[in-house]
Amino acid sequence: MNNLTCILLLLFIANSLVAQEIPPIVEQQAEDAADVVEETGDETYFQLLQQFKKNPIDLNVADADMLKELQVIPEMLINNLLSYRKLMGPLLSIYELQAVPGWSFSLIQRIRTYITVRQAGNVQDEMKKQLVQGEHLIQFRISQVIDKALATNSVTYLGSNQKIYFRYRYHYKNNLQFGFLGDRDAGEQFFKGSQKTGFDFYSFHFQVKKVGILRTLVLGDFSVNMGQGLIQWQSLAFKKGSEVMSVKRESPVLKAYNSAGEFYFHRGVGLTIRMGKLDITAFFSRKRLSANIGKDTINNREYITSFLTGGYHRTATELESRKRIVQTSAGGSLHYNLANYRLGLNAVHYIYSLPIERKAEPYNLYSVKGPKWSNFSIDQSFTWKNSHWFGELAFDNQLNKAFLVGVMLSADPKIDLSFIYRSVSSAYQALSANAFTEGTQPNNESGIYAGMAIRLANAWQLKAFVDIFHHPWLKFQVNRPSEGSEFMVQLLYTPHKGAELYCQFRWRSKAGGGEDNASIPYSMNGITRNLRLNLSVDLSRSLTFRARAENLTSDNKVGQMQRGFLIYSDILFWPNQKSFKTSIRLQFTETTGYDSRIYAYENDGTMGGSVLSHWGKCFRYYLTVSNNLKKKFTYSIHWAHSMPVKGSPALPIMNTQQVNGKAEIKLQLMLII
Amino acid sequence: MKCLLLIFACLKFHSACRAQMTGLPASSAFIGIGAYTSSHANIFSVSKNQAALIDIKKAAVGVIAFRPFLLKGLDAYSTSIALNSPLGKVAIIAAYSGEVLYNESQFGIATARKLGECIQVGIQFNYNSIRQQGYGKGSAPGVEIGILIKLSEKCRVGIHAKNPVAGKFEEYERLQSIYSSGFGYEFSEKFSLVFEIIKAENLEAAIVVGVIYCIDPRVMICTGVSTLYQSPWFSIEYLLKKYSLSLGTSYHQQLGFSPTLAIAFHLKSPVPDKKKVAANE
Repeated sequence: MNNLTCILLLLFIANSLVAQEIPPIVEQQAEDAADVVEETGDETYFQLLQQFKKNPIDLNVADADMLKELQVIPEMLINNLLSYRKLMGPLLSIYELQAVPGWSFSLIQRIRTYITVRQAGNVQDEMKKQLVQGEHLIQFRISQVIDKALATNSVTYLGSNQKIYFRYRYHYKNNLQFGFLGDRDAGEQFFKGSQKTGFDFYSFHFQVKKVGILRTLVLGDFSVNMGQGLIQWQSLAFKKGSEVMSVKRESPVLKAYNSAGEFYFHRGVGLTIRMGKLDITAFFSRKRLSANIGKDTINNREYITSFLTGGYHRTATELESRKRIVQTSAGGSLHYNLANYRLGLNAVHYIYSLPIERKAEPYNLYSVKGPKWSNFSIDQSFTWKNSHWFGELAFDNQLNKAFLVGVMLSADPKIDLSFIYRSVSSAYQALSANAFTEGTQPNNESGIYAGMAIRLANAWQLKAFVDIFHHPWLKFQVNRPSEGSEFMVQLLYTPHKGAELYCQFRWRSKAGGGEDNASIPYSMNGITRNLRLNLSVDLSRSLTFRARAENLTSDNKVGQMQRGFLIYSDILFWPNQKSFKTSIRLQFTETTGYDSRIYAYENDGTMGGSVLSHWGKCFRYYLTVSNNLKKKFTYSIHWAHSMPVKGSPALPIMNTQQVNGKAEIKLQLMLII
Repeated sequence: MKCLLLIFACLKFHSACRAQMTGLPASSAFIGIGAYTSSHANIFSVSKNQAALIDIKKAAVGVIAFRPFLLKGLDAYSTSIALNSPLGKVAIIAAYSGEVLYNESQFGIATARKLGECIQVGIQFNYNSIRQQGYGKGSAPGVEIGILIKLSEKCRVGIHAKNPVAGKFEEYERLQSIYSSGFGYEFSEKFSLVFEIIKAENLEAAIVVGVIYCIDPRVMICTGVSTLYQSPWFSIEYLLKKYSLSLGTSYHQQLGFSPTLAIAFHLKSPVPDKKKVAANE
C-alpha cells in the first residue's frame, strides 16, 4: 500500500511525457517471437528504433544496410527505392514514396516515424552539425517484484530482490557509437561476495561506420549475423508470425551489442571494409561463458554438458557454473554486391576450453561434440522483375548440409506472396544459428512455408501463412521422427489511420510433450488453436483505447486438453501528444495450465516494453507513467499487480519476469545530453 | 432419491450453460446480438452490452421467455424497460430463472453515456439472489460494464464485463465473472455479420458467429452458431407498428431445442415510415 501511495504521489508530481512505445506491428512480432525475445534478451533492435525515432533515416542518403536495420522493409522494396533515387534524383517529400514501385501506403504509415526526407543541400549541414552534436544517453532502471513467496526464495538467493540496469551510450546518427552497461538480476549479489565489482554483467562497445573504405569497425561486444542465419545469427530475428512477408533475415553482418542478455554476442573486434563491390568482414572474439560442467572421474576430465544462457547467478550452485569456460571464436564473410544481386561466403569457427558432451540420449546423437566446431556457407540474393530471391547453403565441419531458399513475390499491386523451403540435415549443427525454421536452432528439419498478404479493399487486408515441416530424427521430448504443420489467417480492418481491428486464427500441430525417458514410447502430435480479436482506436488526439480477447486451446500432452483465455483493455492517455504519457491496463486471464499460457505485450516504460506470458486465473492491472522534462530528462514508472482469483490453484513462479500473483514496480530514469 | 439426482443434474447443467445473464445461457447468444450493430440494437441488446442503451431512441419495454432444452425446471424470464430520463438513458432489468426447488433472480438498473463521436459506455448495477429449498437463500451485488466503439459507419466493436469484481453470496459462493468482446459489420442496411467471444469463468470460451438479414423492413432473420456445445441458432423477428415479436431457438445435438420468445413494445415504431422515407428521398 505504501508503494501504491508513492506511485500516486509521483503521478501527481509528473507534468510532462515521452513516447517510448514501439509500433503495434512490432508489438505483435515480439509476441509471436516471445520465446526468442526472452531467450536472447536482445533489446538492440528496440534501442535502434528509438534512435531512429530521434534521428530519422534520411531516405535521400540512406543505403541498403541502414534501411535493412528497420527489419520491416523487404529487400525488394529497398532495391526499388535505391533504383528510383538513382533514376529520378532525390525524393522531394515523403509522400513521393508512394510513387516508388511496391511501396504501399500502409508500409509508409508503419515506418513514417523512423524516416525523413531532407534536401541534398541540407544534408551536408546536418552532417556537420551531427559531428559536433552527438548525443549522450544515460539510463538507469531498477525494478522489484513484491511477493511473499519470492521473499522466502530470496533466503536461498545470495542477493536482494532488485533488478538493476545501468547504461551509457554516446552516438551521433548511425555512424559513431560507444557505450557500456551493467546489469544485475534480482537475487544476485551487488558489490559483495562473488560480485565485488558491482554488477554481475558488464558490456562495452565502440562502433564506427563509414570512414573511407571502412564500413564498420566494432570493438568490445558485438553480434554477428550472416546469410540467412544457418551458421550464425545473434541479433533478434522474428520467425513465423503475422508479418507474413518478413521472412528474410536482413541485417548488417556486424552490429554493436548493447543489451543485458549475457550469452548471444561476441566480445573482441570486428570490421567490415568495402573495396569497390566487395564487402569483407572479419571478427575475432574471446569471452567467458557460464555452463554446466560434467566430470568423468575415471579419466579425470571435465566437459560441458550444457550452456547457461539465462545469465542468472543468484545461488551458490549458479555461481559455480559462472564463467567456467572460455569461448574463442573467429570468422568472416566476403560479399560481392551488384545493383540487384549479392553473393556471399561466410565462415565461423568456435573453440572451447572444454569439450562439449551432451547427455547420452538418442535425440542427442548428432549434437555438437568436442572442443571445436566450425561452419561455412554461401548465401545469395537477387531481384528479378517483381520477385526477390534469397538463399543459403551451409555446411558444418563434418560436411553435413543445411539449405534454405526463399522468394518474395509481388504478384499483383494488391497481392504479395512469400515462400521458403528449407532442408537441414539431422546431423547438421551450428552453435549460434537462428534461421527461419520451426525449431529454435536450424537442424533436423525440412519444411516449406508459404505466406500471402492481400489488400482486399482500401480498409481490408488478409494475411495468411501455412508451414509444413518434418523432423527426420528425434528431438527433445519427442522420441520419434515427427512432422507438423501450422497455419494462420488474419483479417485486418483499418477504416482510417487511427483505428485498427484484426481477427487472427492460428492452428498448429506439432509433436511434443513426450517424456525424456523411454516409458512413453511414442510422442503424439499436440494441437494448439489460438483465436485473437484485437482492437486499437484513437478516440481523440490525446486518447487511445485498445482491447484484446484471446482464446487458446492446447492438447500438447496426451489426454490433457488445456484452455486459456485472456482479455484486456488499455487506455493510453497522451495529452496533446506532448511530454506526459500514461497507460493503464485491466486484464483477466484464465488458463487451466502452463501449456495454455498466453503472451501479451506490455508497455512498461522501457524501450522495448516486455512480452509476458500469463497463466493461472488472475486479474492484472498496470499503470505506466512517463514524463519527458525539457526533452532531456525522462522518467517512467511502471506498477503492475496480478491478483489470483481466490480459490484458483497456485501456479509456479517460473522466473522473476513472470509476475502472476505478485506486484512489480519498475522505475527508469534517462538523461539525454 | 431419483428426483434429487435429477435436480442436481439440472442444476449442474444450468450453471454450466449460463453465460449471458441470469437464466439466459450462452446458447441463447442471438438474444441482443444486434448490440454490435447500430441499426439492429434493441431493448434486448442492453443486457448484452449496456452501452447499446444509447441506441434506443424512445422508451421501450421487452419481455423474454426462454426454455432451455424444453426442460421446465430451467425456465428463464427477463423483462427490461428503457426510459429517457432527465439524467440520461436508463434501463431497469429484472430476470428470473429456475423453479421452486432452486431459482435465481436479478434486479438491475443500467445507464449509458455517449463519450464523444464514436464511443458509448454503459454500466449496470445488479442485485442478485439465489434460493434453494432446504438450504436457504443468499444475495449479492453485481456490476456490468459495457463499451461500444464505432470504428466506421459500418463497423462497431464492443467489450463487456459482467461481475469483474465478483460479489459473494456466502463465503464460498460467488457470482460468476463473464467477459465478452466482439464486433459487427454492416455490409448493407439488410445484411450484417456479427462475431463475438464470450468467456464465463471456469467454462470453455464460446465463439459466436452470426448473420442478421432483413428480408423486409419488418422481418429480420438472425442465424449463426456458437462453439459452446456446437449449437446452431436461428431467430425471426417481426415488427408490427410499435410491437416486435421475436421467436428463436438454439439446438443441441443431444439435448434438443431451446426455444425463446421475445416481445417488445416501443413508444415509437422502429419501422421507418414509408411515406416519410419517400418524402425524404
